[in-house]
Amino acid sequence: MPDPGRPSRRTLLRAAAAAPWLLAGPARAQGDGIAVRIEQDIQTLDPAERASAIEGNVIRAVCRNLVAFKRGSFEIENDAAAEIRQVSDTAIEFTLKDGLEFTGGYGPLTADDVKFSYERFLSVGPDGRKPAYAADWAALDRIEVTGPLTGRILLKHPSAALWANAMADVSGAILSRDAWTRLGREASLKLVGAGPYRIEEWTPNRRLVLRRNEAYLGDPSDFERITLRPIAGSTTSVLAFRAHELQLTRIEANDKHRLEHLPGTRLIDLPSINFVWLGLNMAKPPFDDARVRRAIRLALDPGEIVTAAYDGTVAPARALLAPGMLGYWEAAPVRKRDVEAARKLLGGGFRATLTLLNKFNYITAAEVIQAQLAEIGVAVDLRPLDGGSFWSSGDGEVGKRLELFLLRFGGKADSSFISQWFLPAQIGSWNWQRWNDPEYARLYDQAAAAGDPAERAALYIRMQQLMDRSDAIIPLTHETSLFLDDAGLDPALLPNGDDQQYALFRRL
Amino acid sequence: MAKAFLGRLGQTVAVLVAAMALLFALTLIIPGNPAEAILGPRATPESIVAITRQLGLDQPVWERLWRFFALLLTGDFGTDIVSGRPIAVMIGEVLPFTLALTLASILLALLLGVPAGVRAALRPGGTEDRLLALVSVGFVALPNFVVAIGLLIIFSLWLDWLPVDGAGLPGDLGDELLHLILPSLAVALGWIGYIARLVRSAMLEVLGQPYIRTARAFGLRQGRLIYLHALRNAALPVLAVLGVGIGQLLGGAVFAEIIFARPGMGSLIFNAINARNYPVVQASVFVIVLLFVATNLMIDALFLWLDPRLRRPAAS
Amino acid sequence: MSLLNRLWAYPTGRLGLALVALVLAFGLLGPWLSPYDPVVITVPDRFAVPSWQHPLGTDQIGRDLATRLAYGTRLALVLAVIVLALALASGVTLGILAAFAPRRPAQAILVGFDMLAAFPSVILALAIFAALGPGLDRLTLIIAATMMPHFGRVARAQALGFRGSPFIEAERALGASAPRILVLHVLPNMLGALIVLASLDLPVVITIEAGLSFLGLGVPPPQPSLGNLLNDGYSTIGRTLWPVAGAAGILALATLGFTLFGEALRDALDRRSAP
Repeated sequence: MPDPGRPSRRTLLRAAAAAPWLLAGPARAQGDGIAVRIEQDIQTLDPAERASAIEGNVIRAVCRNLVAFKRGSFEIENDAAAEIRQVSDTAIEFTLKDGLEFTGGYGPLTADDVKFSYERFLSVGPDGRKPAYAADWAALDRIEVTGPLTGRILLKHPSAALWANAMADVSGAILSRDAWTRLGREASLKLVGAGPYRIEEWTPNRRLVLRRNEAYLGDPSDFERITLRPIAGSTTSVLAFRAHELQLTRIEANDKHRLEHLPGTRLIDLPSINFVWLGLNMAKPPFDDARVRRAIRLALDPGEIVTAAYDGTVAPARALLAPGMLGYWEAAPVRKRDVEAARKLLGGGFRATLTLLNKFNYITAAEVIQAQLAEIGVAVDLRPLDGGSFWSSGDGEVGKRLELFLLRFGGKADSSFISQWFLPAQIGSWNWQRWNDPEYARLYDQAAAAGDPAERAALYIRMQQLMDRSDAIIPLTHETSLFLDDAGLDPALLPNGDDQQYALFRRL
Repeated sequence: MAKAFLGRLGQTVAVLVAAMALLFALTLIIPGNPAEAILGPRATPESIVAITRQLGLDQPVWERLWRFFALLLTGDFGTDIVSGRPIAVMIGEVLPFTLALTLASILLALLLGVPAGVRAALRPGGTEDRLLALVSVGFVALPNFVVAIGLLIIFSLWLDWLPVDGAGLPGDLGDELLHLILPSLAVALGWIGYIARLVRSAMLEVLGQPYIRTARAFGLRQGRLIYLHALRNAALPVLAVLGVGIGQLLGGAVFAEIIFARPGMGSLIFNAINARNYPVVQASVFVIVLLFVATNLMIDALFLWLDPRLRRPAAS
Repeated sequence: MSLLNRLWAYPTGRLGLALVALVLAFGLLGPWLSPYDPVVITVPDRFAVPSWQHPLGTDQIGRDLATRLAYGTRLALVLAVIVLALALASGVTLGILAAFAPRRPAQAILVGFDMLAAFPSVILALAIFAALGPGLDRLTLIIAATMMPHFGRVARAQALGFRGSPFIEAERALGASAPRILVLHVLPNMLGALIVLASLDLPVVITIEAGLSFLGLGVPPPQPSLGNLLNDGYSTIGRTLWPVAGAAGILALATLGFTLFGEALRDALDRRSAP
């Protein structure tokens, strides 16, 4: 355990408190493990139904994919596949490595397991519901098993994003058909894979312990055990980190200044590819009026908003795609604040509701927006909602009543992932601005099918120009991922910060 | 005695039924369609129908009330729609933490409050007594979440003595106890003050009795005398206060659990509210109310047993 | 005046009076004296440490903390008075009804009291917020509802005591109507005890309001309330301790002051106990 070995008073206290029970209590597995904070408890470990990146990270450590991301990057390398290649626009052939075994005695990993794992995404439940991540495999037609270890993935249409968003990511995790059918309902809780780790223990609300899979074929990971501890509050998690109860924790921007120079600690500041913006519902008057939207945009100063919300740790964003991503729009215009012009454009003021997630930095951002819009006579009521009601506030009928909202979407390796939420087809689910631009949809389909990266980049830039012109999507930031990291640990974080490769965490 | 107890039992049952009715009534005032609210963005017309049926929302009100009562009374509570796990299991997982926190707080309050009260009563008007008078009011007055945050800053942030997150490593009793210290102190502080004051006044009353003064004059050893005679007298009011106070202790546990990130009924309810997961809120609030009235019933029974004067039917 | 004198005779009463005066002055004069608007932001000045310009520093978006605390204190005081008035009015009415009504309705009222009291107040509030969502109006009603049975029971006990008392019997013999007896004789006689009770409950109301706002269920932002300010401070504990210390400090002073004051008032009105 990478403990800097400071015998704090706490250790002594702990020893004193533990003394009477030393003989009775089970031995503590301190030796070769690390503890990592997760922001909320695990809900389900079904790759097709995962609730967030937190579940995805566990699945990534427990299961193998055909291909996987290299350490800390979105470049792709072979994983369970010995050989894999795109033979045509709509066909991929693979050969699995020999000797891969599922844990728990569920036998060898075969091409049939691959077929089972990916075709699940196409199934429709008894209630008519598709899996939550069905879109990742939307291009899949079927998988042909041509031998115990060989198969062919057949697509309905070309898909440029399939490799990065499905195959190499969590939706590409290979499950054991045998385990999944035999375990039934329990399967999504007792995930069985052939990856570097297996789930040793899961006590809801307390911890999930990943134990090194000794039968794993590949470089063994550095840590025998990785304990994931759900801690919702960032304050508590920082305190726990300082007490050496955690070796890695995400922190909020507000904590950065104080924790920057903590001895024995590294602060990881990873510019992210997420997108945070202020949205305006174009279906709801007065936001259907282009002048009103332009006035609101002119009245806002994204720089000041993100300085307050992220305590000066991030730069304001100008468009959807972050620097470094395919289709990053470098020449995107900087909108200067002009209260006078905004006032003139607007004429009279009105009241509006700003819907947001009940989280400290969003509330801070919203309070700044509230103050800035007050200057042009727009009185904003904040509606901070808990996760459950917030994430459903753009749906169907309810979504039509939405006015202003603060939203954050996580980025993934391929630019098509984050672009899809602004499609007209997403109106009623994730296109909360109800921005209905068929041209955007046309360009999106074109970019998805195109093979040439330069051509795709140009298409994504044109899509962002359309977004910019709508004035319904006011970019705020791409965020940065801040982590406190114990000096003995070198974590493996993918460029979006949310996705982590536990199996590639290294000891320093 | 049996009759008095039965009367009390009947009253408890009536209160429980009424509380269940109130919990049920809350589902009727939820704005919008609860099934849609619970399902969120993934709701499809089909899944809304399925959940509506699972929750019985399509049934007439009386049918639903009946189902609700049956569900609560069998201790089944149904299945959580969000996680697909039985609600009874979810409650069973966290209930021990809240019970441990509440018990630890009561123990702490008794352990610190009783000796403080006894000392103060030995020399009424003395320095210790005056100090106690002020400190105990302070303890009683301070909101427990302010105390919790204060303890967190002092003992964890500044002194780095005690852990703050969660309930400790499962199975490691020492660690679990260590994680219990700050939260239980935050919950108990007010009760230390309360109990000290109760013990003090009960002791003063007893010490003023002629038979005690006689005993004192005859030179019985003071320590034994005090504990034997006076404490027995102080036990009843302390018991009474604890009975009423269990409710406040459970309420205080909500804050302690959230601030110290402990699992427990409080954080379960709070998280369920945040997820708008009404069935979980209803079931866990019911369990807390059940705990509360059951403790009160037990304490009343104890009273009847300890104090014969109460055995006569209540004359109101 | 003599009541104040008697209060002053208790050392704890003196401290209580002083603290109450301090909190009242802060909450009632502070908003009026402060040059700052509690909701106007100056982002570049965020997290300022205490200085002459900002005696308690500024918060995460550069609002003056002392000003926000003063407005929050005022809100807590006003809310407490409204809640107690509501709880007193409804509790006394129902309590007297329970004392004078026929057996069955009286029992129903008592079971109602027991039912409300069977919910620990924070838990009841959480259960209701779960159904209705947060808001200042329901916060007021919920706290009043949890306080009501307490007043109701005392009012009933007092009214029962009056029912058989000679002067009520005399009035009745003279032909006074029941409402007249209630309003002219019963009510004034129980008011003293109830006001003491209410003053003892005032810090409880402040605590519940702050607690629920702390959980994000009470007063909406950017309105300052003590609970919101405590939550803001708790959320930025990693950055600075001034906001959390300010909010916790005012809450401690207010609850301590009003508790000491209430207890001294009770003792001063209770003839049996001398200072």
